[in-house]
Amino acid sequence: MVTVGLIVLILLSLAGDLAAALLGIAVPGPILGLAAYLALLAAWPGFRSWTLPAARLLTRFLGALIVPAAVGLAAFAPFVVDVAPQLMLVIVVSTLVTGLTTALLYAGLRR
Amino acid sequence: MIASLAVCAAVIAAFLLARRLAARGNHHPLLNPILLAAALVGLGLWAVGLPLDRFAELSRPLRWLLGPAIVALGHLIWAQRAALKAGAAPLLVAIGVGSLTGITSAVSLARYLQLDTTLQHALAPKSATSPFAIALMEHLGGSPELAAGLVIVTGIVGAILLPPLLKRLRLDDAETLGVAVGQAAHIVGTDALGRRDAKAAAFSGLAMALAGLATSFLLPLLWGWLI
Repeated sequence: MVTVGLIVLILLSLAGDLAAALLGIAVPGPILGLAAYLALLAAWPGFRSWTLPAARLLTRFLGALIVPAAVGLAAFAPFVVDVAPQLMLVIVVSTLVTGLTTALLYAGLRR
Repeated sequence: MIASLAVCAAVIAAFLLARRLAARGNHHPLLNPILLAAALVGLGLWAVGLPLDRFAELSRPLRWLLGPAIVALGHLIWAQRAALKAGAAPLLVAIGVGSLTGITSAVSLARYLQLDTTLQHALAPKSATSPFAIALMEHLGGSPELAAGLVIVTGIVGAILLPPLLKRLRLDDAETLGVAVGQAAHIVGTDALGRRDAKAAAFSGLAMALAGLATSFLLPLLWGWLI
């Protein structure tokens, strides 16, 4: 079941890549694949039990898949080392302001 | 092929070890498993003398699986569909304004601190998860690698700092926490929430996808102002 599910999720991701390329849009293929997955879940309830074990497995190891990109950051160290404090300041302030704005708006509008 | 399998297995092992260390440390935000695992892998590369570009090549299967893993977040979103339907309008407004805030706050602060334009451009998509940031930079002509790197740093910073801040402000119900973390800390934040609260992670996963879409829509419109 995990294998079938994995193949389905991989195919959805590839179909998304293909669709994005054909349409010439800057939306990443996997996000189109995610939209297609949601549409399939809505259209066909049986689809969930097919894909659930694989989806759970991938979600659990999501963090591991980002590790190579985080390691790859070291390659940029020489370019950013001089401005690292300013860069961190921008990232910290902007990330907190963005998260806070979103939280306040969402919590406020939902009431 | 064998070298590639060994490297991927080592990365997964480092991640599992990092997760165990984080659990032992009571999931203290600074013990982010991705950050810890990256440090462990970095040490390992230094110990065996494997250069970074060779590591990037050998670990490619893991990067490749990130696509299907993003698709897989659909099962979390689907499980929360009733709650999401009820909060759809506030969600869309919060993400739209949040994405605009993400772009403008990063670029204007970078400009104020006189960071060079390459960095200003690479910071612009920081509130979009890395596949979006990469696609946008390729489309608009910035550095995709640098942007992807800054997105990961952003995710780690947000995953560490946002939950305690929102808790202090009492904005930490599962839905609000999830939406804010998904917007500002995308995939690293979603991964961090996933270990604690399935509902928050579902909202985070959806917010991440929507924030990526909103940024993809807004950034090309704002690009003229940015350059």
